[in-house]
Amino acid sequence: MTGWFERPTAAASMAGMAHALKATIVWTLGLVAAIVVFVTVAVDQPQPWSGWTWFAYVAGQLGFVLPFAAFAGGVAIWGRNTAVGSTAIAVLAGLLIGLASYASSEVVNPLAEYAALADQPDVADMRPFGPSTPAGKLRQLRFVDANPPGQYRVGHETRTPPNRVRLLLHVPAAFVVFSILNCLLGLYASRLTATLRDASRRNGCLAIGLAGGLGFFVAAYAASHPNRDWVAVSGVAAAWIPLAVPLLEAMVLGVMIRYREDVSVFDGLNSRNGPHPRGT
Amino acid sequence: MTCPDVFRITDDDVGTEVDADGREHLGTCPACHLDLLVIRSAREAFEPEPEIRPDLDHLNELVMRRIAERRIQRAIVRPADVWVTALLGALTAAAAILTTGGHLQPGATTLELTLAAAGAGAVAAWAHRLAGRREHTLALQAART
Repeated sequence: MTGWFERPTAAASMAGMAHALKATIVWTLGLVAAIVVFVTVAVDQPQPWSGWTWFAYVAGQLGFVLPFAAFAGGVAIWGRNTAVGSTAIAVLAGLLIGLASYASSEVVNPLAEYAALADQPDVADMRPFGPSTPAGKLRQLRFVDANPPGQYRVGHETRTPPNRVRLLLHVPAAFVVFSILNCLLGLYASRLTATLRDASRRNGCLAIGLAGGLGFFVAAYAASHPNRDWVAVSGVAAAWIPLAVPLLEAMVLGVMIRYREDVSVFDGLNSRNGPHPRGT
Repeated sequence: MTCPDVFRITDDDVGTEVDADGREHLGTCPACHLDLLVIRSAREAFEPEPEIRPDLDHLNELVMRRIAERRIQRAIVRPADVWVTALLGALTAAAAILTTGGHLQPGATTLELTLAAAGAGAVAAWAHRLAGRREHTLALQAART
């Protein structure tokens, strides 16, 4: 069987990475297009979208969707290249996708959003810490730590609980890790369904990806809900604990793959014909 | 001197030119000479007898044909597969719109959300059919060659 973490050749790495990134980009663009078309057509806008507002919205959606679409990248790695080192390629591809997501949602989106507000007279009151990039959030965290208000209020820049700001700082980093895990999950799902018909395999991978993505989203949504008591709840824990869902999923898929692909020692001991691969 | 790759300089490797240096090295280096003897013995041991060669070729042809047939069967997309893909695609699009808060904003209705999801499902089903056709064509081409 193929090793779990073997060193791939440079050519295999490049080919696997190219397939993974291409699949991720196709799925991301498809989903973002669906979201943007829906919001543009169906949702009432309080004011016409400016170029910066539209750019900020698309960048934000790209940053949000990319980690979920990383699953398709993992599927493409195993679908095209079953050579050694697929796990390493999936980790690298997931990391690249995660960093792109971080840059899109934490740098491009806040800067474009701030540029859209630039011509408003009360921008200094609305955004006292500048664009809500990681640097801006750090400024906000230092301020609310040093100047605790009489009453905290989520959504108000100078009165946000420090734990809530810590959550907003850590969630994008947790999404980078989720990108890596999701890419690995795609690889595992593709590997697990390798013996099915091609059509069933595509559907199986899509179902596993959808279920896993929804599971992580529900956990992250529940953990970072604005109505929680952010004075008492740890923002760092709330950002990272939802990763238990994809981790658990990866463990379950990993065990299932081991069961299907490995040579069973116990079967070998019990069988007269010696060890044999199971589930093939 | 570094020993050359004996596999690459044996006469048994069809199409490989053996240069004079290689021949000379095999004649003088005991380790490479031993390697050459082992390689030739192994090749002789695994080479089938001439009388069973046609049977083996026939068996090989049957196996290759079976593999090609299996690949063609695997590539077939049934109507039920397309419906399942459409449903999963619609669910994925609906989940993407719902998780980004699109339906919660003013103006959006459940009907519009359903229509958007159905459109995405149709696109997913179409893409699935295209992928299936491409794989089927590739499998047929592989079977012909």
